[in-house]
Amino acid sequence: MKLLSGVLLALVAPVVVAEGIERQFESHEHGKAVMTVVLEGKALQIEINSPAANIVGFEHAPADKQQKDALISVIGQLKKPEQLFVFPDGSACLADLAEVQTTMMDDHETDHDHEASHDHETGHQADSGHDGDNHSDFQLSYQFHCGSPALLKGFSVELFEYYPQMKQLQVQLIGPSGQSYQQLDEDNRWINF
Amino acid sequence: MKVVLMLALRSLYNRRLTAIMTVISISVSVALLLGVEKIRTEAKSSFSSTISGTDLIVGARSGSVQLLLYSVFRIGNATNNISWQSYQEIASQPKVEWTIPMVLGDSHRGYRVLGTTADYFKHYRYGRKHTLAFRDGQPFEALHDVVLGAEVAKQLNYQLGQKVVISHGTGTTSFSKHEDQPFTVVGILEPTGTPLDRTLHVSLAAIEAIHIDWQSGSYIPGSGGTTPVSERKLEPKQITAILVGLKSKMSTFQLQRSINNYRKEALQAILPGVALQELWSMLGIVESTLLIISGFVVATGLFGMLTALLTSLNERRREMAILRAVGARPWQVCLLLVLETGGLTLSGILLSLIFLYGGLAISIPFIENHFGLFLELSLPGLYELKLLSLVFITGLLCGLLPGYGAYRYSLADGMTVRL
Repeated sequence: MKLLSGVLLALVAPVVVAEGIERQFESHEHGKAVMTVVLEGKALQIEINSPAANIVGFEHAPADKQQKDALISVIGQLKKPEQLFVFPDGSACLADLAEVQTTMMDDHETDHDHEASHDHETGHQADSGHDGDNHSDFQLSYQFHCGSPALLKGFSVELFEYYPQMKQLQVQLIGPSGQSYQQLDEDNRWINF
Repeated sequence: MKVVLMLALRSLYNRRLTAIMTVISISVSVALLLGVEKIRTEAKSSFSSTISGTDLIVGARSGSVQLLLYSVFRIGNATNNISWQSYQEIASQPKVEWTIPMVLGDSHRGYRVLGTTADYFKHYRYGRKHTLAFRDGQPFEALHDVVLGAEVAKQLNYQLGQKVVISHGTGTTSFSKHEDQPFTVVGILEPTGTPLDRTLHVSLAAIEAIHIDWQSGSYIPGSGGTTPVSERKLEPKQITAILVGLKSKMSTFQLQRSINNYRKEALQAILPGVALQELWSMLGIVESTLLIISGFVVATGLFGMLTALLTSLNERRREMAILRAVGARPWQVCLLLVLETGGLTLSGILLSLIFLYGGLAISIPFIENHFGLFLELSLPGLYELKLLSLVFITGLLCGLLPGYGAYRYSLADGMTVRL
């Protein structure tokens, strides 16, 4: 009986999957990126989801050495959160985690390198990266520990400095005063809690 | 300088009635500016405090504003429903602390009926984390119990124990009523100033129960089977929206993403705070209109002051001439007038603050009771101070106009007796 139900399950399972929505894509607009910020207690969590074009300028898997180098140097840079975010003096925010994921990295060599340098699991977020001409995204996750969060009235985002293709960040924010929405651009880089 | 100030005061005292009227007209207009500004900011915060303490709202995938409108403001309709199965999968997530399922779609004399659970009264928050309070009675317990929002009870004059029949659909004059299953009023909520006041609350099971005999959109008695309602397992198959509270805010975006990417059903999770802000920014034009209107009101007040001064200047030619005759220089006469307008504006501003705060202190309980708008008696903020100093500087500058006139008058001008 158990065997039979196992067989039945195996038969049923693919049907269930097929019934689900399998063709769905997140929006992807060059120049814009989505950022989420949560401050709870002393923990600050920042996530950014951006089309790869905003950051490296291309979205296909790196084709030549030059592009590969560019990608590697960008990833190196994105792993230095202290350069990307500037916190007010005294708030004592220190990075706990800096994680970079991209759907561009079809190359297993670089992928492994990435994993080795970080303990966190990296993987292909979506299937899209496998197809040559598809869109690619970067997913950046940062976590900070802030010694005195009371002094953290806000902070500035310096991504526009390094990535001129990045025109606008749409920020969803959860802070001590609740949820809010802000838009950042080159001239307005300050996130207000 | 001191002498000029003294003279300005004396001169004002001499014309105290006009001076007082000018001060009052300025103070009323400034109080109006501050009042409009206050109401504008407070209406905004009251609007955004329609729902608080809820981390996510889940509904069918549509727009975040639309989901917010139908789930919180009871405006418009859902594009799709959520299956009960998906609801349970979300509710059983370890990060979720509480969930409130909501079923909308029926009404009572134009007021929406909300099917939910008793958790609604426990977890729903509005304003600054206010909980829902009962003016009379208690939450629904029996199948055919209904809890009324404050406005529903007031407008329709319903009391505890009264029978209420719910209509099928949401029109104000619905012909298909659930007359076979009347409800009993068991609770009436305190006013909240939110759309909740215009809602009737019943249990999820009750919504199921009244729809038992409804087949493909019409009422066929007996078509739902003959099992008595009390013996059925009344579990909804689909609901309209879910309010979700999380254990930690840290997991908000994670859960939002996993709901938005849910493979089995096209669901959407929104952050109520963010959606409220989006909605308010659409209403931003109303906000700026209010501000422009109050700006014009202040301009009117200042023009009134200017008119009064210019008129009086004609009558005060003799005064000016005497001042000049006893040795006052033209610029001192001009300064006299600027000081006068400055003094008038300043006292107008101070009086307006008294008007505003006195008025607010008296009317806050009234406004809270009748409009559900929760005003806070707070000191003027930076923005208000900026507005006030702008008014003051404009008032001072207004003095320059008659001042320049007085400056130009020759000594002989006021002395000559005209026939």
